[in-house]
Amino acid sequence: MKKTIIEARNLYKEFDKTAVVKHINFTIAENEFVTFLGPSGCGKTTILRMIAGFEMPTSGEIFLYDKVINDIPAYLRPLNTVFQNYALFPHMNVFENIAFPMRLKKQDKNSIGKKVAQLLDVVNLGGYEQRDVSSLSGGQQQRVAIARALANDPKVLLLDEPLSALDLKMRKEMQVELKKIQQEIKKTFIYVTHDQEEALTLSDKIIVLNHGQIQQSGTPTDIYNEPVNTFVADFIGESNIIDGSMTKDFEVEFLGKKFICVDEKPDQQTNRVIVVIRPEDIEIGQRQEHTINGVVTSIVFKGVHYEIMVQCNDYDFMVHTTDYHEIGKDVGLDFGPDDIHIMKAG
Amino acid sequence: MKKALRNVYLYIMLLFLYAPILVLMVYSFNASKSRGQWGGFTLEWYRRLFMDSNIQSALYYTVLVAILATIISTIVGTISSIGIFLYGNRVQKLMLNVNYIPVINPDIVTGVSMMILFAFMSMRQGFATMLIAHITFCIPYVILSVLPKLRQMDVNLIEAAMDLGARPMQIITKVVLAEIKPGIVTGLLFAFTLSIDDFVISFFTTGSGVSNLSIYVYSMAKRGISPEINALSTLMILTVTLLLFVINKRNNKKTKITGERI
Repeated sequence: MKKTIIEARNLYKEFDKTAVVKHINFTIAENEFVTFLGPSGCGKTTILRMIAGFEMPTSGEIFLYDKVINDIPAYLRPLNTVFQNYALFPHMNVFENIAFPMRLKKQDKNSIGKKVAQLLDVVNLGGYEQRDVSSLSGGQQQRVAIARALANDPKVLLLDEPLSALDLKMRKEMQVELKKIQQEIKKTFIYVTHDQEEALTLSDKIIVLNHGQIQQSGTPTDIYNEPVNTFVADFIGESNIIDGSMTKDFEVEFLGKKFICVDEKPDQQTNRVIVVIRPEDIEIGQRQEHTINGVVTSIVFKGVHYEIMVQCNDYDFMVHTTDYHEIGKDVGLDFGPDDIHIMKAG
Repeated sequence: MKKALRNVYLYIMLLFLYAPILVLMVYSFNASKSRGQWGGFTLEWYRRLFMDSNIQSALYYTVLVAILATIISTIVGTISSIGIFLYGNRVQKLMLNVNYIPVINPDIVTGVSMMILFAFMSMRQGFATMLIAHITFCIPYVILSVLPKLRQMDVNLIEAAMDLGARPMQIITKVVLAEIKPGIVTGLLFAFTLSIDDFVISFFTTGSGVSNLSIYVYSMAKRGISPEINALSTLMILTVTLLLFVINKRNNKKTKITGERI
């Protein structure tokens, strides 16, 4: 078991009487890459800002190892932040930006010079010391910001949607880079994003938030394959969410057909359940006795696969498949037992 | 045709604006004492100007007041701007409006009210009162050039500095001041220009024995215009023009840089 570095206990924050973070608890282990994922306004950035020390929790505690850090000002916390808009000092060049935290600590010139060169190597910007920050591209500025945040050897690096200002290609490159940096320097990264794909790619652990509450936390695989509720299922990847009913374990009925599934009946009080099926788990083909039948209403080429909408009586399924099916074609949809996820209704 | 007309209009307008100043400058080199005729080129008036101990004393007070008023008003104005900036948006707007009132207030009102205030406080008018008056009317201009710079500043920079270990005082000295430096320098130049050429407020707030150049020119003019005044005015115009030129140059440079960033 890895050692816990950051822990929140009953963390609560309100702005003008509106609760933004509602009594949440979480732990983050050393050297973990943890992502807070959620739609805008879910409180993820507020949590990060409370860890960094820019916001005071209304109640509850934040621990660094076994010490409560609520009352420690931001400039004394051994944590550093990479800001969404980089926040580089425009009146300093690359070297001075990265040297800034070390100069504050009055380190000697030689060791500052060495450290800056080493950090620039880590972020792949060797030789850029004397460049003006405004002459750098967005991606390069982001790298400088990361190098600067690492200059004081923080225990934890906090990243607030650091890639959201970059274009798609640059973002993908930086994702790979970030993961590499994290593995290279072996530090805890706490990352905030609304981009579920980014979260799945980068994280060791994802904490999904909505309305200031934790919906689910776990590894990317757990969260993707076993979403605990419809919010998570819908937010992480695409999902078909259908009302169904279960009269016994391992058998579910929806849209008038019965299917075998791997889940037990989640709630003994009621037969009603919610069925979640990922678009890529649906088999689309000939109509058969046991399939759900429908008509193709649209097909969009997405590069690797087609995204097909199939209208079946009163539900429109989204299907991802590499096969082409023309609009208006009658098709049947089939699901394996592993592909059907059952959730409690309500 | 249309273009020619436009140019003619422009030149007539510029002539209208600058003719008096040009005439004054030309006459400062006029050998004849009479204003009506040209008596040949001379530097005599400039020579006399620099021999005149009254003018030298006036120049001394003008420069001393300008330098002291500039330094003090720049420091006070910058600190005030930072203070105003730290309030919310609403207070900032209110303070900006309050700050505007002295700027648009007629100088004569400012001058008279200051005179009354000094009398009320039974302060003897002289160098100190004139200096205080200059500092007072310069501060709003410093705030007007510094506060917008603060508002333009990315507030994340403050958080970034704090995050990287800067204490509140270090944030101001190492990040904020560097960011608003262009505004401070503009305010400083403004203050200096305003102080150098102020007449009305100085006239009401100074006492016997202490006069600056504009007051001296005024008292000379009452005794009849001497060509020395032309020489003196020419020098003052050149100084102010030079300062304005520097201010404009700085402003142009700034817009160019921000233009590139966008």
